[in-house]
Amino acid sequence: MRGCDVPAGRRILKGAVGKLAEIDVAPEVIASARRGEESACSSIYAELAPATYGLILRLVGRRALAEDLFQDTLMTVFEQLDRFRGEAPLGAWVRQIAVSKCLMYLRSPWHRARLDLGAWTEGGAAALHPWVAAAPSAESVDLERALASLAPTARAVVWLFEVEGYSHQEIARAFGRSESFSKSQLARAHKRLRERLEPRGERQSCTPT
Amino acid sequence: MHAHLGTPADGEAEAAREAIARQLRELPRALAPPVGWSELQPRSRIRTGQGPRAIALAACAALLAVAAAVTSRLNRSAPETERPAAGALMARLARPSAGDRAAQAPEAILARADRAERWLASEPDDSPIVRVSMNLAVTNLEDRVASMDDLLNLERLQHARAARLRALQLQRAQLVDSLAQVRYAEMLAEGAP
Repeated sequence: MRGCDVPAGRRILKGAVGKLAEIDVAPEVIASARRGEESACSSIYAELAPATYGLILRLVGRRALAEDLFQDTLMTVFEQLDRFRGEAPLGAWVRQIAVSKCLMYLRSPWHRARLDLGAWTEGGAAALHPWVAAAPSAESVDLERALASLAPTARAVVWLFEVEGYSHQEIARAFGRSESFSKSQLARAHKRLRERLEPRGERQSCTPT
Repeated sequence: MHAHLGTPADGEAEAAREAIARQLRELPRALAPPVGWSELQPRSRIRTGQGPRAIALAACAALLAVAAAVTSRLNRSAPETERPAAGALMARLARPSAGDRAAQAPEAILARADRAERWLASEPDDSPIVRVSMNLAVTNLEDRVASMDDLLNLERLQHARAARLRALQLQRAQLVDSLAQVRYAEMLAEGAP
């Protein structure tokens, strides 16, 4: 029996979809999915996919890469669903997997060079567009552009800390680095965002008055 | 609670930071996914596992690609000046003989993979000449290494036993080693110094 498909497209989903970590699925649906029941799997997919894809795109910034990581993440979720212990919402467990996969990319010297370059080539504009298209105000557009201008690692840290609620300790562990790394990345990200968002006239003069 | 009084500039910076944080939290978080469940499901079935058999198959494919490239290279005459540099690099990356026990120790395998990984990171990602068989071998091995990285991180997050992590690290090292061999073969085939 086919479950309902999430339509492929680039629609921003507002309103009901909150943080991925807070999305939960009924235990009986998870049990059915573990037994391989397609309608249960499809239902779980429909619940988790939009927030998961949104998070991954926020972290890596490139649409093509985000699509690959998204598919990899969801496949891993269903392959390892037996490992989910149910101590926290399912979305929290999925978020852990998604963040892990994204940060693996950010940590890899092979891939980081591609990310840095790709943000300012065809991947950059394409990744930015869906967020910009849905931005409710000019200020939001400015913030989206400012966020896209950050280095991949700094952008991931600021999103994880300010939006996903990760602590510096959790970010450090996820990156395999120290807490001071997380703090310095966050400070750097905020500084850059402030510089980008400040109107030109309000920037401090370099010469003393 | 901190007793000291910060400067006005500190207060302004903190207020600006809070304002930005608030705005970030108001940004949309969800996006319609790129594929539906009906498209993901068959891909999930096709995806192979991380077991030793899959790694052995990938390594065999890599070795075949290496053999093809070396044969192709030997059929062309190489300038004398290229050989010393290539030889030195190959000596660093070459697999030791099966009888060399010290070189087969886990620490030696990991050290060799570490050297290979540093060399790979210094090489350009894409070859100027695309050879389909090698490209497939390289892509396949890169995907396997990336998957192994994911698995290692997941295992660490789930507090896997040290023996399990060690075994995975050694598998990863073998994949990196194979990848280095193929990339080196690719380099030889292009006639790069």
